This record gives sequence, C-alpha cells and structure tokens, in this order.
Amino acid sequence: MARILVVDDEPDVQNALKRRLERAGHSVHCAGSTDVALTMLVAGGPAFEVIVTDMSMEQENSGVKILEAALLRDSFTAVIILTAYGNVRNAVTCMQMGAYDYVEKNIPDVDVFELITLKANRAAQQVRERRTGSGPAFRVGSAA
Amino acid sequence: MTEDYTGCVNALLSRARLHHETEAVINDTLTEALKFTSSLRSFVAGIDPATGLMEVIAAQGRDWSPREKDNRLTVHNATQSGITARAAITANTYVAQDVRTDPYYVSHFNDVLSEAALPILDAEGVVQAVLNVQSGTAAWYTPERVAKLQILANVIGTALVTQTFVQRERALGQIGLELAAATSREHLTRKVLDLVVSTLHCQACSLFLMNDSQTQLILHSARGSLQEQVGEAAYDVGEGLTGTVARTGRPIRLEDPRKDSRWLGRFTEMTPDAMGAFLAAPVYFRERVLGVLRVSRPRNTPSWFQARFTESDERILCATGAQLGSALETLNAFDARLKNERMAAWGELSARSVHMVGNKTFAIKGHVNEIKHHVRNLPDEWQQPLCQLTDSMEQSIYRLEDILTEFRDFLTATQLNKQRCSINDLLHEAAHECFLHHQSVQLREQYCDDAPLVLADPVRLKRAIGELLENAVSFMPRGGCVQLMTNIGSTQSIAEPEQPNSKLSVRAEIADTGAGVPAGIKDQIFQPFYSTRSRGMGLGLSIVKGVIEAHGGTIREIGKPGLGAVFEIVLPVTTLEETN
Repeated sequence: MARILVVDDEPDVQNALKRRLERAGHSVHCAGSTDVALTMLVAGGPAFEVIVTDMSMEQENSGVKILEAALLRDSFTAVIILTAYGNVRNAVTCMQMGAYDYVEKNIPDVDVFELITLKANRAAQQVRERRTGSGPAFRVGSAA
Repeated sequence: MTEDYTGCVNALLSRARLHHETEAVINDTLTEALKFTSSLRSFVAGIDPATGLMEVIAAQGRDWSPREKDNRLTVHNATQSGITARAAITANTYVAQDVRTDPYYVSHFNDVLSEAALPILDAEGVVQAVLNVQSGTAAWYTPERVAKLQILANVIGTALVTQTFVQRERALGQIGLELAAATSREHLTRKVLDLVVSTLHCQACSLFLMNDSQTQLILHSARGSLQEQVGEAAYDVGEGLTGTVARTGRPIRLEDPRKDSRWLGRFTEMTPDAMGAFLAAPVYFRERVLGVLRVSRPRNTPSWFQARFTESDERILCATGAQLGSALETLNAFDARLKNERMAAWGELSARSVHMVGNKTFAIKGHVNEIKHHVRNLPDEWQQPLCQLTDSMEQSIYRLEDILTEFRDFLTATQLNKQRCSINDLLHEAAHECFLHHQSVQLREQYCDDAPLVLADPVRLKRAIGELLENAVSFMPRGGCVQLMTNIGSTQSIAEPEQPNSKLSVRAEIADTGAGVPAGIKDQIFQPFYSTRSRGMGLGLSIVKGVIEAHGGTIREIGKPGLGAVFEIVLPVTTLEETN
C-alpha cells in the first residue's frame, strides 16, 4: 500500500484514477489544480510515495511544476506524468528532470488505467525499497 | 494628281486614324475610287487570318445584291480563280485589261470589260484584304489610274490596321478588367480564353497550369476539342513544346509544329494532320512560370495562305500570359491567406478540442475499467451481456482515440525529435509491420546500399511511410505488388536545373499496382480532409506531407494514372557540419 497523490483538473479523471488505484490497495489523495497540489506537497505528514499528475492543466507544463516540487520535498517520490499524445518533448524533459515515467492518456487499443496501475504498483515498490535502503540509491541517471 | 484628289485622300487619311470611322472610311474610299477612276463598281474583300477565306467587307457602285456579294465571298482553294484571289495569293496588283481573254477572271457581272485588284497589306506586310475595281471599258486601268487606286488601297490599309490595333488594345484592356474583377480561377480563365480566341482568330486555345510541386503542367481549361481532357492532359516540365515553354519561360511560335523535334503531339487541339500554326506563351508572375497558354490554327486553309501567327500575335499572347499570371498569383495569394487564417483558427480550435475530448475520453475509459471490475463479481447470467456491452464501449473509445490520434498527428506534424537514421531501415521496418496484416500483396524492396543517413524523426517518418503503405494496400483489394526503392539524388530545383548548389538527397519511391491517381487530383490528395475512403478523417496524406516537409523534404505522386500510384519522397542529407 502506498500513499498516492492524483493531480488532474478533470474531476471525472480524478475519480476514475482514485477508484482504480484504491482498488489496487493504495491510499489515494486528489488535487484538482496545480496550486492545491503544491500546497499538499509542502504540508506536514509523510511524503507521497507516488504522484500521478496530468501534464497540461492551467498551463501546458503544469506537470513540470508538480514534478519539481515533489522531488524537492522528497527525491525518492516517483512521479508519473500523464501526457496528451504527441507532447513527447515535455515528457522527455520530465524524464530528464527525474520523473519515474510518462503515460499517454489516449492510446488506442490499450487500457491505460491498467497500465497506470501497473506502473504505480512498481513505482511504489521501488520507492519503498529505496527508502528502506534495499533498492538502488539513485534511480535517475540525470536530474539536470 | 488633281488638287481635288489630294484633298480627298488627305481627308480620308485623317479619318482612317480614328477607329470608330473604319467602316465609313472604307465605304467612302470605295466611293472615291469609283469617282476618281470612273469605275462601275468597287469592293474590298477581307481575308480571315485564321482560315484564309475571303469575304466582301464593303462594296460600292451598281447592282450589288446580297446574291452578288455571296458569289464573291469565297476564294476557292481548288481553282484559286478570280483576280481578287490572284492579288491575295501573289501580294501584287493584278489588272485584267480585257476580262474576256484573262486566264484568271471569273465573271460575276456581265457589264465588266476590265478589272483591277490591289492587295492591302497589314502592319507586318501580309495581305489582309484586296481592293477591287471594275470598269465597262476594256484597258481602262492605266498606270495613272492604278497609282491613284494604290493610294486609296493604302488608306484602307491604314483604316484596317488601326481597327486591328484598337481591337487588340481593347482586348488587352478587357483582359485587365476581367482580371481585376475575377473572383474565381474558373471565371477568370474562361473570360481570358474567350478573349484570346476572338483576338487571335484561332480555333483552339488551351491553358495548362503548373501543379503545386511545379513538376507538371495540367490542362486547366480549353476551347476546342481538348475541353474533354481538362484535368487529365498533362505534360512534365520540359516535355514537348508546352513543357519547353514552362521550362524556359519563353514563347514558341511555329508555322508547322509537326516539324519541330520537341513536338510530341500527345494532346493536340486538332488531329495531328490538321494541325497548323502553333503559338504558346508562358503564364508567369515575376520570374516564376505558373502555366502555359497556347493557341493553334488548323492546316486545312487554302494552300497559298500562311495560317501563321505573327510577332504581334506573340506579343499579345505574352502580354495576356503576364496579366493572367499576375491575376492568378493574386488569387493564389488570397487563397493562401484565407487557407492560412483558416488553418490557424482551425488548428487552435482543434488543439483545444482534442485536449478536452482526450481528457473526457480518458475519464470514460476509467469508468469502463471500473464497470468491468464490478461485472466480474456478478453472477454468470449477468456477466455475459454486460461484458459484451463493456467490450463494445471499449472498442468505441479506441476508435475515438484513433480519430484523436489522427487529429494530433496532423496538428503536431512539424514537431520533430530528430536523430540520424537510415531511410532504408525505416522503409523496411514500416513495410514489415504493414505486411504482417496484408499477405495478399507482394512486397519488393530494392534499396540503395550506400544511401546516406538522414536527420529525421524515426517515429514520425516511419508512421508516415506506414500510412503510404496502408494507403497503397487499401487500393489493391484483389492483391497486387508494392515496390519500395531508394536511391541517391540531388535536391536540385526543377525550375533551375543548371543551379550548381544542389544538395545531396535521398530519394525513396513507394509504388503500387492499384488504379493510380488521376492527373487532376495529384495535388488535391495531399489536402486535409481529402478522402475517397469512408474510414478516417481524410487527414492521412496531409499528415504525411506535413511530416516530410517538416524534414525539409518533398513528396509528390508521380505515377501514370491507371498504372498505379508512385509516391516519391525526397529528403535532404544533412552533413555533419550543417548539423553542428
């Protein structure tokens, strides 16, 4: 079980992701905007292990801001970025900055919710291992 | 010469410069000819510059009836009889001092004993009409009388030349007005063709316009038998006389095009045997050739008559080509601006819509995922019908996402993630991904081993190639063959083949054995929303074009209609220095 933050400005998407990830046994919190998410990230309590955030919300690169704030709070946090198809350049930037992975939301013939859940499960496990010192110390090659 | 005569000629000459007086001047000159030579009758027969047939354009004196005029209308080619015809054929004055013994004389009036015919020349020295006078006295036309008539013939010549110039000037002015008022290419070209046909006295006129890729001239509109081949008849630039005009930007004027080595006779306004004089001029704007305007005259004119086009005709056609070019360019610029504005607005709108629709679709996908989860916990009799529903919903969502993908590909065609890659590999991979599903189609690959690497986005380029392959396969429902080929070329400009700074490029060809693409739609197929299939949005080829052009390359369809489509992609090879 991991503490997961879902950030998306679409309530339906928040609900759908929350339901699916909860079904996988995680404790899921939601933020409907970048500002709310940033506030939650700096609030007290344990850091989130996994953050699933949309890339473009108020701005084209809102996801980048969430990623920066999340890694600043806890560099072990795994951030999964949800992108619209074709926005690969932003996604590549995020990977270079230390995102765990990115998932395109509208891939035909793929149940993306299963894919996100799979990635969130793996990420949660890796974060736990790292925090307990059993996994690799640095998962990201370049955070430049 | 008497004072009376000189004063009269002076007055006629002054009026001959005024175009609105032409008819009156000719008739008055004929009357003066009767008066000063005491003739019975006088008339002027004009020569049709297209057909060489003569007809009486004015007549004075006794006994003229419509029937008499009709009798004199035609100079029969077979006999070339009549002294009027003699003057036209020889371009010399002919006097029959005694018509009863004259070998050429043809009788029309019983009271004639002598007759004189004087050629009237145009600005280029070609016979345009003949002045004819008749007398009831034999040997009436003395050198002195003929000299007087010669001066009167010159007066008529001046009047006719003035009339021709004014008509041509008006036609050019009219073309200018039509160009300014033109709202559509069709309206414009229709008017211009009509004016050219009437001004240049030609039976056929065709306008070929350059395609978007500046490689082919396609028949856009025509007067004459080629009308049926509009959109079909096409010449490569440099091919035949028409293609040569496009390549050189210079007019071609020939008395007999069949004797010219460049003549192909592929698309002619008349049967090759009937083909007479030919004149073609470029339609251009600044230095760029936009098309070719050509006119022709039939050969079946009287054998003595040269149905040629004159230098003046050439100037008129060139001026028309230039004016038409500038008007077409204005229309093109207007269209392009409209298209750009439309695309920008449409792009912004659809980018937003695609984002929002994508998000909603994503949410629905999540809900379906949840329903599927709950359905799995239901009793069996509920599971089956509900599973069918969720599967169907899922499939619909995927198709919706296909459409979104097509839209996004279109919107993001220019966003490239470039790296060095081999075009051969991309073609091969795309082909094998495509041909896993289409085994009825045979695949042939013929790659150039030393094709240099190109700087390209491999994902997008491969997808673009895949689209072309899917396209090829879909047009061969009963099977066929797809041939992939690469070679090394240079991206030299077709308009400037001698340009030395051509760069190295890789050329790929994707050819199929389907129905091919008709000449008229070779450019249209790359436009957004153009589709002959019910599947998809019709963005496929416009995306392919966008991707290729974003790579600095070109794509065009160069197949022969009916023999299969051939898509040619040319990508520039970027050297390492240029990359750095």
